Amino acid sequence: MAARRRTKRKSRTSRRTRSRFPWGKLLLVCAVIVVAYVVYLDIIVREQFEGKRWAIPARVYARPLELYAGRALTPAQLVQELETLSYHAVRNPARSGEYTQSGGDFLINTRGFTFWDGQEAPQQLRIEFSGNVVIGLSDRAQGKEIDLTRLDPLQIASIYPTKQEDRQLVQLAQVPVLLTQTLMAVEDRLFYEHFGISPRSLLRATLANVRAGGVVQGGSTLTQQLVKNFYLSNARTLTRKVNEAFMALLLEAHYSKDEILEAYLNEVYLGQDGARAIHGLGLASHFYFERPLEQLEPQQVALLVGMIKGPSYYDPRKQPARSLERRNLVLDLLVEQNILTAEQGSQAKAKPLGVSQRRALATNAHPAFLELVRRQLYRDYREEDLTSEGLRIFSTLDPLAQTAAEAAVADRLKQIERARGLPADSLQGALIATGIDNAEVLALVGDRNPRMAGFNRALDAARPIGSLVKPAVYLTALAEPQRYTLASWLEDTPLKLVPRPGDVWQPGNYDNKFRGSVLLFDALVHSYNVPTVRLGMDVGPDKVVATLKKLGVQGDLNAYPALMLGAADLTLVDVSRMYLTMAAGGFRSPLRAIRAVLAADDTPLQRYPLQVEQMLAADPVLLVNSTLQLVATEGTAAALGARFGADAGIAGKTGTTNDLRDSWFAGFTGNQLAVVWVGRDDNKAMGLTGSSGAVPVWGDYMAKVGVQPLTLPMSERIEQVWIDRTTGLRADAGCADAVQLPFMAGSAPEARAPCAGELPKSIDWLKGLFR
Amino acid sequence: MKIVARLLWITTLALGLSACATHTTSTRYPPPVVDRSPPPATTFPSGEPAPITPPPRSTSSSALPASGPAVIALLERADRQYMDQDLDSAAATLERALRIEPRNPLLWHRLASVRLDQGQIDQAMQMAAKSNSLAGSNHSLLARNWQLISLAYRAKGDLDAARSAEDKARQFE
Repeated sequence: MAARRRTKRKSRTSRRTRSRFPWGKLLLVCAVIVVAYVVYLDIIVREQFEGKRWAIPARVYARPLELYAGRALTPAQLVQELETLSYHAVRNPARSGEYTQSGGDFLINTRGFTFWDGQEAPQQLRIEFSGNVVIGLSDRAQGKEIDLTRLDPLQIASIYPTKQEDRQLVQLAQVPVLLTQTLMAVEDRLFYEHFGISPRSLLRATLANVRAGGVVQGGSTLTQQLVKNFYLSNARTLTRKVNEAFMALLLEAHYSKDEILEAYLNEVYLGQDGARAIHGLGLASHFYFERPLEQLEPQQVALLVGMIKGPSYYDPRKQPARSLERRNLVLDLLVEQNILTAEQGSQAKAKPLGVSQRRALATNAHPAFLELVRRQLYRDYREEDLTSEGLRIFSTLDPLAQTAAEAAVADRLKQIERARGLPADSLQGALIATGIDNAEVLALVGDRNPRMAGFNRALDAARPIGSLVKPAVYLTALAEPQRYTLASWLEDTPLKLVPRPGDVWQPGNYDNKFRGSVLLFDALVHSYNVPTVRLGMDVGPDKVVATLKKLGVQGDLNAYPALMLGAADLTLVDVSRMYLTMAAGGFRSPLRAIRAVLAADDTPLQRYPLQVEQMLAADPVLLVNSTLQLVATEGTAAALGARFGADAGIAGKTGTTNDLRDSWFAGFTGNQLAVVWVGRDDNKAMGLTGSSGAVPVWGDYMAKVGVQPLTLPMSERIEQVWIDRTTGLRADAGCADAVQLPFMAGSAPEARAPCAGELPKSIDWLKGLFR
Repeated sequence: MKIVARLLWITTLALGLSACATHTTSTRYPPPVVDRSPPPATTFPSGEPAPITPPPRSTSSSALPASGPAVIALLERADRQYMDQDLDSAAATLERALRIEPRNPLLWHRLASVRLDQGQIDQAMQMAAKSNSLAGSNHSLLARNWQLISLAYRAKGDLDAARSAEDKARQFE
């Protein structure tokens, strides 16, 4: 606009020139134009500098690792966590971010972190393990025991706007003096003396360049460089140079040197991480050395400052020789200007580049889990807030569980394909692991290749669930203790149903046998189809649907007889909700992937609190759960009992669909639920049952994260009774085949099995006392 | 109502800590005696098959489960925050403790108290019910939960339900 105004006036003035040339007026007009232009530039300069200078992407963190005496953790898991967090293994930890291990004894200098519920100060931790348990935790600096602490959390992703600039803002006070000194020595020696532009520097740079026969120094001041990056395009035109000079002067007129320097330190471009642009020295320090600016050593400072000239040309990871040369040149300069002593200089030059190994993890290592986080966030926040406000999002992801889950799915599928002669990569798998009683999502795998950010099978694939539905049938029945107990008899004979006129359905058992009659708990443990359908039709399909809804299933459910055998397409998320409610004793909690969101200045914006709602009576749920424990010792998941021992108390249910298209297992331990699906994307038969596909994946996952034994919470209303398996009546030590089952008060069978001898009255009375 | 809720909190304070304490000498805040017994074994099978030997645990303990030092520290922190009326922080601290011991009924009871003070009546009742479902035969805690549920009904204006909850509380006293 200013340019247009200028041309208009020019033409008007030239017309008047012909008659009598008004030099004075022309000068005045020119002055007005220049002033207007400067005012215009001034507005731009001030608006941008005083407003929000940078769009800071939201950062998503994993859960912090809690450490306390009694924590179940292996030393190997702690090492894995420390490595992922880029703690350096050293002999004697001196700085934060360093650790040393000697067997089950760790010394860790933690970094400290601000969480949504308070701050964790940097500590010099000592951690002692005994086997797979943390037994001691103390602070070496203060020489006292600590009850609990947590490490800094892993950043798992950033949520960017279209322009993928990332930065970690620093304040000048945080920046080591050596860094600003180095920056000025290299880029702008007279920074604190000039007024935005520096003719002296320009002259010196020109001389130096002529002497060196190439460009070794730039003549732009830091202010000019900041203006260039901050306000102007990259085009090398004269207008831009003039604008740059004007704006540099204006910036200097309005703001202090320190303010300008701080902005420069945060703006400067320092490299590329895939699509993510690394800006500012704060982030660059983490990106190249995995440590905060305050902890950089002289040679590291020299490297970062040296790179400003050409971040990709001097990329220390890709061009180590070139960047080493540049670094040493900078170190020489520092010695020359007496910023470092000659000795310090040569010591620093002797050091290696020391750039950290780049992990593929940096930006978005777990896209499947992040997708869940995104969906929850977009419900509560606007896109621009997520990509510009520097929000800090604390997710529930457990990186140890996540890597275990990814490996379990990928490795086991490969193994199954090889063992069964299936085509490579024909199988797909998904897994969701959640914490019991708090419904936090710990791990989520949506593809056997966990880096694939495409179709998310855990969130979006709805597949028939097969026998996974059965516990809901039994739960519905057991809510009527006067009609059904775990020791009720169910008929297992051929069954013919007519769900709709002209539509005849004759369900069969998996092994095509009929057993005449089976005990109710046995029918669930061995996943017999026909007795289950009978039971479901007896209690009413509508009631079974109602139970499933109460358990948290959100997918479509039809009250047809075939529902009893799992004719319902559900996602892993839905199945997780259903089994979580059972594992939590009938209390439903919404699945959570986020614990809290903080603003950039650490003020809490939102908490996602733990919520519970009792949907089902606790007692029938307990009856079903204890039957699900038998599934893992003698039923369709007996492999797990063999692998982890009966005392692990694992509870779960397998699911297999028609023609072996889907293989499911949903199972829980004392602290985790994991739901696994294995199948093919084209929905073709793959020849795997729940027992042969999903169960081993589940077992591999749990073996990696550790099984905390499940002890079901008993209430006083529950009575444990030994039952003879052949008669379903009360058993005693004389019965060869007996099982202990829970019963709701007053519902246990009274009669004794023939194998259980009549007890003398007195002992019966005694037993009554202890019941 | 708040005062009653507070009194309830203070009584459970003694209840909770004395469950961890074997001997109390001080009158107000008995120092918790930390249970140093090994925690429930978690197995990490390195080879197959893996033996698992969890310590014998009673299914219906009469006392509260022995809290580890971490949970006791968090409980004490939550108590301070509650007394300072910093209810958001108290809730966050209790949630953190629940991540460590998700089946500790005392933690659920405390969280129910905080929710009640925050005016989240329904969550308070639900959490008291959750605490009850985990309390086994701990009658004093069952009684406290029913008292809390009664308070919650009173806050909702449902006096009949409040009275019947009080009756339930009395059954356990």
